[in-house]
Amino acid sequence: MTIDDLRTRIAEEYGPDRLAVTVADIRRRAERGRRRRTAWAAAGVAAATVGVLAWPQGGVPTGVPLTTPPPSADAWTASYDEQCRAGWAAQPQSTGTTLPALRFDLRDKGRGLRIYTDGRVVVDCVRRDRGTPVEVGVLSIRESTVRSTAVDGVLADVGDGLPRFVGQDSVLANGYDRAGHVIGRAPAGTVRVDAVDPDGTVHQARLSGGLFLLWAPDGGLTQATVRAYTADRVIMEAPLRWFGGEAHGDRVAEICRDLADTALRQAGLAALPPRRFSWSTAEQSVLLYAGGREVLSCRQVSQNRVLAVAVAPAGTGSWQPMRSTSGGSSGRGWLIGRAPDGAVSGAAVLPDGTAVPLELSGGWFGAWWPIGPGDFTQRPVRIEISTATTVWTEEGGQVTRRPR
Amino acid sequence: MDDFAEFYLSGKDAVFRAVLAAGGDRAGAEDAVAEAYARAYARWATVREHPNPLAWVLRVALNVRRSVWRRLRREVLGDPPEQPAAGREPDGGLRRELAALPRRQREVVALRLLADLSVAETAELLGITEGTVNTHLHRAVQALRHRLHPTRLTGLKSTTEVA
Repeated sequence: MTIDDLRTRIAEEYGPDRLAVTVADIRRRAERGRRRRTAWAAAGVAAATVGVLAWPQGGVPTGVPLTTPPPSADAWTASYDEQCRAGWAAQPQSTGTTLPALRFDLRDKGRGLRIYTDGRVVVDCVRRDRGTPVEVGVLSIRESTVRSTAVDGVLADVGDGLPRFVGQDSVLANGYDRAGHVIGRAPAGTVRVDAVDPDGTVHQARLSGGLFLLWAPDGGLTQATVRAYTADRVIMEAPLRWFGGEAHGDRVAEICRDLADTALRQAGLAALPPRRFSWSTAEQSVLLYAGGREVLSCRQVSQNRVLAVAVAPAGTGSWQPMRSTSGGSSGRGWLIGRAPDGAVSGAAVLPDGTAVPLELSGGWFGAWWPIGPGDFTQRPVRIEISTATTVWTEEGGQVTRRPR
Repeated sequence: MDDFAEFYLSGKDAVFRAVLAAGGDRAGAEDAVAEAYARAYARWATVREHPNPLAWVLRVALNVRRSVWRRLRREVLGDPPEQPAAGREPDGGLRRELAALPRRQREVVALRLLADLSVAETAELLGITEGTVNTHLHRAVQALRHRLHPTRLTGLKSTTEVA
C-alpha cells in the first residue's frame, strides 16, 4: 500500500461527513460577528471617555491612599524582561547561552514587542497584553521562515533587496486583526523603511544598525510590500509568492506580471516594464525588466517561491548611464543597469577578479553568474562598457569615461 | 446564486472533513468551519481575490480550533487536547488512530490527503517548510501502519510526494 491507499481509505472514512450549515446561517453568523465587534469598539470608546471624565480636577488629592496603585512602567518592563529571558532559556536553541542583545523594544498600551539579536540569531518576544504570558520564538530558526525572504536564514546584505523574517502572528493571520511584525536587513544607506498593506495602509519601520522593524499591533503586514529609501533610490520588495505545480520561466513571468499589477502597483510601481533579460537553469529562473524609471527583478528563489524586487531612482530622476542594481541569492547573482548610447560590449568584474560578460538589450545591460551557497559578497565591484569610441567605467559609485 | 454561496457550497464539506480529521470533536469542527466561512463572508471582497480562498478558509478554521484549545488550556489549567479524540471517538479504527497522532501530523494528513492541498500549499498554510510537511506525512503513515490492524493496512509504506 502507498499514501494513495491511505488517501482512499481516509476519503471513504470521512466521505459521509457533511457540514449541515446553510449559506443563510453563515451570513447571519457574519452579521452577528460584525455587530459584536462594533459593540466592543463602542465599549472601548466609552471606557476611555469615562476614564478621562473621572480624572480628578486639579490633580490627585493628597492624603488619600491608593489601595490599588497602577502598574508602573518599571514593573511592566521588569516582568517583561524576566519573561523574555525565561522564554529564551526554554528554547532548545538557547543551549544555556544568555539572551542576545536587545535591539528593538516597542510597546503599545499593554502590548509589547522585543527583538534580540547577535547578528546571527534573531529572537522575538511578544507580549499580547498584561493578562497573558509572553511568547518567545527564534525567528532565524523556526519554521515560519517559509514566509520570510532571509537568505539561508541570515539577514545578510544582498544588494538591492530586503531580506526579512516575518513574525508568527502574521503567519497565523486568520482574517481578524492580529499583530504582525517583520524584522529585516536594510540596504546600505537606507534612511527610511515602510511597508504597504494590500488595502493601502502604510506602516513606518524603526531602524537600528542596518536592521529595520515593522510592527502592526492592531493587525497587518501579512501581505505587505516593503519599501526602503536611500539617497538615490527606492527599493520595493513584494511579499514572497508561493505557487503550486511545475516551476518554469513562463510560470515565473505570470507571477511577476501579477505582482506588478497588485502588490507592487499598490506600493508605487507604475507598470510592468518590458522584459530585457531572462535566464533559467533546471532549478531556477531570473527575469529582469527595465524601462522608464523602474527596474524589476523576478527570481525563483526555491522550487515554489518567487521574489520580486522593483528599484526606481529617488525623486523624479531617471536611470543614468552605467547606473545599475544587483542582488544575489540561491546560488546566483544578477545585475541590470542602464547602458550608454552605442554600447557594444562590456563586462562586470566580481570581487574575486572574475569578469562576467554583459548582455545588452534595449539600452540596458545585464548579467547572471553563479555564486556559492551563503556567499553574499559576489556582487560586481567594477563595470566596464565600450562604445565605438569610448570606454565607460563604473567603480565605487563613480562613473568615468576614456577614449577607446 | 451569488459567488460566495457557490464558493461555500462547493467547498464546505471538504473543509469540514479536513478540520474534523485534523482533530477535536465534531461540534467544535462544525463551529470552527462555520466561523471561518462567516469571516470569509464578512470580507468576501478581499478573500475572493486571495490566490487560494479555500486555503484561506482552512487556515482560519484551524486557527479557530487552536484558539479554542488555547482558551481551554488557560481556563482548565490542563493540557490542550494534543491527542484529543483517542478513546472518545466512537468511530472506526482509522479515525481513532488518526486522532491519536500528534497535532501537526494530523493536520498534514488532513490537508494533504483530505483537502488535497499540494505540499507547497500545505507548507504555507501551516507555516512550515515543505520538507517538514513530507516528514510529518511520512511519520504519520509510519505510525498508522503500526497502529492499524495488520490485515487492514498490511505493507503500507510511505512515499515521498512532491507538489
